[in-house]
Amino acid sequence: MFKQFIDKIPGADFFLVTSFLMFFLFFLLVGLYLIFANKDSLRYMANLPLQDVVEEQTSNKEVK
Amino acid sequence: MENSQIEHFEYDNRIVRNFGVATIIWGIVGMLVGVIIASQLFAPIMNLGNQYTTYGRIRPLHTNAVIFAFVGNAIFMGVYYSLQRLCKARMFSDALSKFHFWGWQLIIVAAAVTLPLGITTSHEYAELEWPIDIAIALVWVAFGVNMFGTIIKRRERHIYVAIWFYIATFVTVALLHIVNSVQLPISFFKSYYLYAGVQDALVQWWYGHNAVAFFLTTPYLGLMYYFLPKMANRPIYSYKLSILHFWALIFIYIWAGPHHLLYTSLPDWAQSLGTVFSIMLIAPSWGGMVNGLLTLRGAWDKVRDDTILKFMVVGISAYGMATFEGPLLSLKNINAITHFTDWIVAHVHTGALGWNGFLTFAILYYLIPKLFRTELFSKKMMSFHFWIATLGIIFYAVPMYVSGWIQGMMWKEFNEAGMLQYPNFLETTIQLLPLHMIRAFGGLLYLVGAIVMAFNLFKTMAQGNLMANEAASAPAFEKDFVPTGEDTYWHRWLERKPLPFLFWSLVVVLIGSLVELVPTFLVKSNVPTIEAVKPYTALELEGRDLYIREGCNNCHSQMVRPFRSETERYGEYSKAGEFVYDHPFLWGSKRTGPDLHRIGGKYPDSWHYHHMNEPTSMSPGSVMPAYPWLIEQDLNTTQTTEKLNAMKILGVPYQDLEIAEAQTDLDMQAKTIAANLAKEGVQVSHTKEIVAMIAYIQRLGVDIKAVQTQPSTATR
Repeated sequence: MFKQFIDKIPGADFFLVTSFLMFFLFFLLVGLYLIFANKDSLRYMANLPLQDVVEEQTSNKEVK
Repeated sequence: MENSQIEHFEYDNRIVRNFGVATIIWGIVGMLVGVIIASQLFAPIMNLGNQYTTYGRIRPLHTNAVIFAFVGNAIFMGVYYSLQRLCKARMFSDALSKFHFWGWQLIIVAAAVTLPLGITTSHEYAELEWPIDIAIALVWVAFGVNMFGTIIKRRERHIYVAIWFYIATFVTVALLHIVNSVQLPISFFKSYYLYAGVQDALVQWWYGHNAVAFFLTTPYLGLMYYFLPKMANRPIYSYKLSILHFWALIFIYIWAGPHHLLYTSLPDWAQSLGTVFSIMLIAPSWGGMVNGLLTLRGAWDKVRDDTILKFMVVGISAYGMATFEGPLLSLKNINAITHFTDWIVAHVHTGALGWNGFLTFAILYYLIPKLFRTELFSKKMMSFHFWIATLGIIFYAVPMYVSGWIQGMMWKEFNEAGMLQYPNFLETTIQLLPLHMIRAFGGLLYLVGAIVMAFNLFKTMAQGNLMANEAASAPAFEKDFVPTGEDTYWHRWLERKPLPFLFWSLVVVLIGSLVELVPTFLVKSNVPTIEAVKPYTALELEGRDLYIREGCNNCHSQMVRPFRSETERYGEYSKAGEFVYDHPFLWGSKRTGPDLHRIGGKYPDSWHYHHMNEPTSMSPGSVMPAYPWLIEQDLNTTQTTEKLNAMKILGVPYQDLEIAEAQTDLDMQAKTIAANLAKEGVQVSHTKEIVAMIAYIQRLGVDIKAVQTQPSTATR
């Protein structure tokens, strides 16, 4: 069904296939990166929001 | 890192407090206007009998207030707080922070003044006129510079995933705003969009849908990724999932806009693209929801006791429900029933009240006591707020779902004789009134909750002291960092480089935008022209601008879809070629009243006169507000020539002579209509606004009718 619409637009197949391939490739690369990513570094990144808890406890001296 | 020198600096909490206070105040204003317009739909007296508070004018005030004032300020509050801490740096420039804050508030005030005055472009969620659009762009750029400046001077090498969402928000909102604001100014308060008809509709809904995506969703996902771990005191469930769903979400979201235009005159291929990508959108959306909810695994006992977490859980669940429902609504068979009905209102409010509202409340309750170094004034009040707001959402959404379904089915019902069961549109409106009353009650509960929260938070502020500058320290950033091992991976490189990250985010969102927009603009076969369709006359154009001023498109569509139930009710379905001179398009998105695309010639001029003066005189039981000022006010024709000239520049084929004699032509047509009215027993001066409005309404859909009736006339 979709083909009949695409046929009406000159160059649309190139447009669509290229954009899909770009995204698919990108998605694949991100997926591969995540599969092989070091668990420690992921854990470090995931803990970033919690780091400033320590900061707050140690440096809560400023009052204005 | 261990050898680096420790640097001492201060976080700017004052700017966070300012945005927080603005969030509370504008939230109440926006919700109050929401309750008023909800009441107007069953009690026309709530239009307050003057032109500045009619539904058509203040419905955009409500949407702009809750989206850009309430949610907008909440985003900035959360971003300014989290960004500084994630970057371990003070905001790049205090001056830019102040400019951003006051600039944004001024824009909101400008919106609150201009929209009731009827100064509007008519594009939904982008109604503000061009000078305010420019101001928005300037303030947004200031925000961007401040954000990137902070990221660049950060003391943490890794850019946490929340900041990715902020970057994607910044770049995409800038793109959407610029493309959807290309207007040709006529005066300081009036402009016409460059695009017309189908193209204008596609640009608007590409913008409208992605305003939901990149203003109401991505920044809030960023806030969820920062604040939920803080509130639950545990890291996000899966950082891998956050990375994967970030890229998938920003890529796929941008394609889904055309699902707002199913069964319209938009080319079929674009509609199908919208549907396909909307279905795909479930995966990354639910990736975010699942990641949020699973963060609380093993900590559900905390949720039982902690009201802030309760707000988060209901908010994230509402996000899950809304993002499951959205793709279903984009299926053509479901959309055929639900589009233009209250179902869409229910869907939007599940997201707005649940996801945006509840996350905002949770963040406010979390932040204010911290910023003021005190305890929350009353936890009981917070708990009361949670329950009354949850009840408010239920009382709002459930009747609207029921109402939407009833409405959709009544419009489509045929009797045994093959005729419409409810040929009078008003029957379907009256049927919904009790449900609209319950909805307004739900909105009121939600508003009461917000007022209680405001009291609670202002008391909290009063009992504490603002820690305007919060001391912090962190190791200095290593400038000569040489990546090794895993740090040399391409994505790790990207995670350290904010500007390339911005560039690639832009590329990702541009792909879908270009594929959808470019063919619709460049391929002529997508919008076949119809020879019989002619430009509006000067008077009709002025009438059209009155239609825009009064916000008629907030309740009336101009798009007859190709269903038998619609062609029976309204007439021939709408064709793309009929809108080629419509700068802007006025298809609307909701039918509180009937479609008007084929209204021209259906009733005599005097019917419209009486109907506009007092709707119930012609349609007993109507909930439409009265427009007596159209009869009292003279039509302003001082810009008519400029308007025709501008249209000509935009490609409308007006002849020079037509433009030169615009005033004369306008007068002649107005006198003809006034004479017709006189024959029908209505005495009104041809200079009044009502005459222009009637001229426009009687022109709607007439061109194509003329084509259809010609052959039969010739045969006779």
